Amino acid sequence: MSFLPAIPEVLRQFLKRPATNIFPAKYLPPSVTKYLQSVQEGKAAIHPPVETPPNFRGKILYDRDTCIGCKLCIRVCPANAIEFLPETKRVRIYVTQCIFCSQCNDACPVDALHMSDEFLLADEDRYSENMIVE
Amino acid sequence: MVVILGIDPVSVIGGTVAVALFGILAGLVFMGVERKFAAHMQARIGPPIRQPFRDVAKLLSKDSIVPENAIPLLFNMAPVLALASSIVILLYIPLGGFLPVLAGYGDLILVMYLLTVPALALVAGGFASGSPYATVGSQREMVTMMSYELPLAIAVIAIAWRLAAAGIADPFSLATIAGTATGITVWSVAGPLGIIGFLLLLIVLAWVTPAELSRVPCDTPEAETELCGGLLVEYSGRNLALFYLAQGVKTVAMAALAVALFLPWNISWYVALSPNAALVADFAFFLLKLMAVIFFSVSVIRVGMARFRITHVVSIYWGYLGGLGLLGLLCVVLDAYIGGGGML
Repeated sequence: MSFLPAIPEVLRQFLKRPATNIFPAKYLPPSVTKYLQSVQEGKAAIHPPVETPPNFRGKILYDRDTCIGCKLCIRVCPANAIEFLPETKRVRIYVTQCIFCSQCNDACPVDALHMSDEFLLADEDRYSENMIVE
Repeated sequence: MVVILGIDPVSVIGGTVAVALFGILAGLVFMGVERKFAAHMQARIGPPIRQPFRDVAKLLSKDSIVPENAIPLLFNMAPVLALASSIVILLYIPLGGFLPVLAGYGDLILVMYLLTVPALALVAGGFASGSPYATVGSQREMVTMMSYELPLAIAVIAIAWRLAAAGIADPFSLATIAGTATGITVWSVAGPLGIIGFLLLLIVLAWVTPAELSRVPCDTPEAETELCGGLLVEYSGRNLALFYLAQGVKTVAMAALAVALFLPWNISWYVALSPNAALVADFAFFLLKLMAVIFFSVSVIRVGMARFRITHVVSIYWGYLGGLGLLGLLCVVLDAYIGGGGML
């Protein structure tokens, strides 16, 4: 057992760069909405988030043309996030309901469902265009 | 100029206001810097340096809740007393090239007594909260106070005794110890053995500082995981803000005491400067020394260690640090006899 082993380590880390990824900015801006506005106007830049790992389960991707309307995804979905549309025999996925478990991807016989890298899904309206995949 | 009882009231009041402002501002800035240090040691970025100012502003804007079981008078008085007594300590400690505001009216022994007053105010506030958590915290704070008193006293006595042995008049005065006017310090008086002794005592004082300030590893009185904040558990709003400010001022006072005792050098002793430039340079260097003390004896220890149990606090401070302090004192005494202090 060494005596006070953490102290040399602490001093070493003091000289290193912090491990924190400064996303979206180094400190919380006084107003987030104003900050986002200035980012859209190009006055400020968002520090990019950490790269997503392989097989990351982000917002779902749906390929309408491949889908055969077999309803398997609806049967496996534990969150009841998928709705069947009888008139077109296609499905509609509610992203706010989705728990990103990826079971529908595994169940799909024609590989029409995929998980993307997109994870910045905050929205004010749970039925907005961005929150529904058809 | 009006002089009452040998004191010039205008300069004393002005000096007190200036020192109070300096203590509060520097306390908050150093707390911000200290959080930044700690964050970088943990490979984080940490909050901006002005975060303590925001915290205090937020606390000041909130209601102060007095619990039903509390004794309101004591409960509300304790934070004021803690802040006021922390500022009073600063009045007796030389700040860079500036002599203490109350130089000549109190010495190191008084400062040692005053250092316990903010802690006693915390204890009184804790007992007055009427919460079992705060009561346990208060008891622990008292035990901590008793624990660090011995090593601190040894370090202080060793310095004053060595100066006295070297034939320097008024060895307990902080202005003498810091050598503000004379440029004579314990390091220049002591021989090689004495320097070893003082280095040991410096280590002891570096470990007394976190106990004095109730920071990790000696934050047993607060112990947020077991006592939910202990002493401060019932405090909120303005009262908590005052305790927060007191903590900042006390950090500055303790670091300034460590600087005055062990790191007393001023730039103006070595570089010829005009009087005004010397004051500015010495003060800037003083702030730098404060930061170094806070870095080593608050941040490094706080991040590198876990909290002691209250029984460990007693055995470590009385046993190990007390022993180390006595060893240092022995070195200093032997040094005085060998090296021929002026009086021996």
